Amino acid sequence: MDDDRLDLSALDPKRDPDRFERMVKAVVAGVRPREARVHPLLLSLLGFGRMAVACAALLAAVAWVPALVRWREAGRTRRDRVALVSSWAEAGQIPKDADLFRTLEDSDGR
Amino acid sequence: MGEPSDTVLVARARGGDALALEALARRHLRPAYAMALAMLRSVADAEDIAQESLMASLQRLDRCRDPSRFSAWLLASVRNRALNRIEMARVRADYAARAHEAQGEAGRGEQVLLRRRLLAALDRLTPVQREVVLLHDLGEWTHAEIAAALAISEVMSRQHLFVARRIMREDLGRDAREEEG
Repeated sequence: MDDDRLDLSALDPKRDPDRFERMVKAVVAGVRPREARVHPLLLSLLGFGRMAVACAALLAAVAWVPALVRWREAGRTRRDRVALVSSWAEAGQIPKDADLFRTLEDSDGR
Repeated sequence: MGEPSDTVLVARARGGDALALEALARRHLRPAYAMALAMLRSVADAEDIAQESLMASLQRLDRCRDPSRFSAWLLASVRNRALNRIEMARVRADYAARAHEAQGEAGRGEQVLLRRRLLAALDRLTPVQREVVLLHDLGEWTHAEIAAALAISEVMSRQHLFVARRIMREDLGRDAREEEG
């Protein structure tokens, strides 16, 4: 230690050990665990909020499934129609009026 | 076995060890107070800011990127809070008057007079001289610790301490002679 040091004991919080201890305890008491810092009601609301967001995310993901299935079915039907008309053309076959009308009807004019 | 390092204590405190948290508070309260006093020159304000900063830093230990430099991290927080306090006081325009008036807490007569003299002597130092002399002679830090916390060299820390002590001794000696005369 340095003997030349200034005597600053009048400014030293440790000059009163009891008071210093109280200061330390006050600091420690002020440091609460993270969970305890939030009001329990707020924590519950936060829990509900999290659940709501999770549900919304799940619904958003699931909502795509029927649309995807429909889109894939429509694609398959379109391919079937094209294959049918192509087979008529390849075979030089003239389709019956009823078949032609049904095929065109299914395609909604596309 | 020696005292556990800050790194060890921070790791334990992060894990929920209340004793480690208390050890950190006990170890760093005085240096935090010394830094706050260097800036505010008011014992009551310095105690407030030291406690407040220490509490906030311990509360946010997970944000301390380098636990071995916990003290420097804490002192940065003390500095910011002290600056805010000065700014707020400036707005209220009563800081200068309050900083020099006798402290209203424990201690009477000679003790209060001595404290007032010390604060007045500290007032004549530059901010860095105040920080160094208080961290060294009050906070009991080494020059290596001061240099790391204040981002200066150890040589500069010694130099600041030497000059600060000389100024304060002259000042306190003059006060004492005037008192006797």
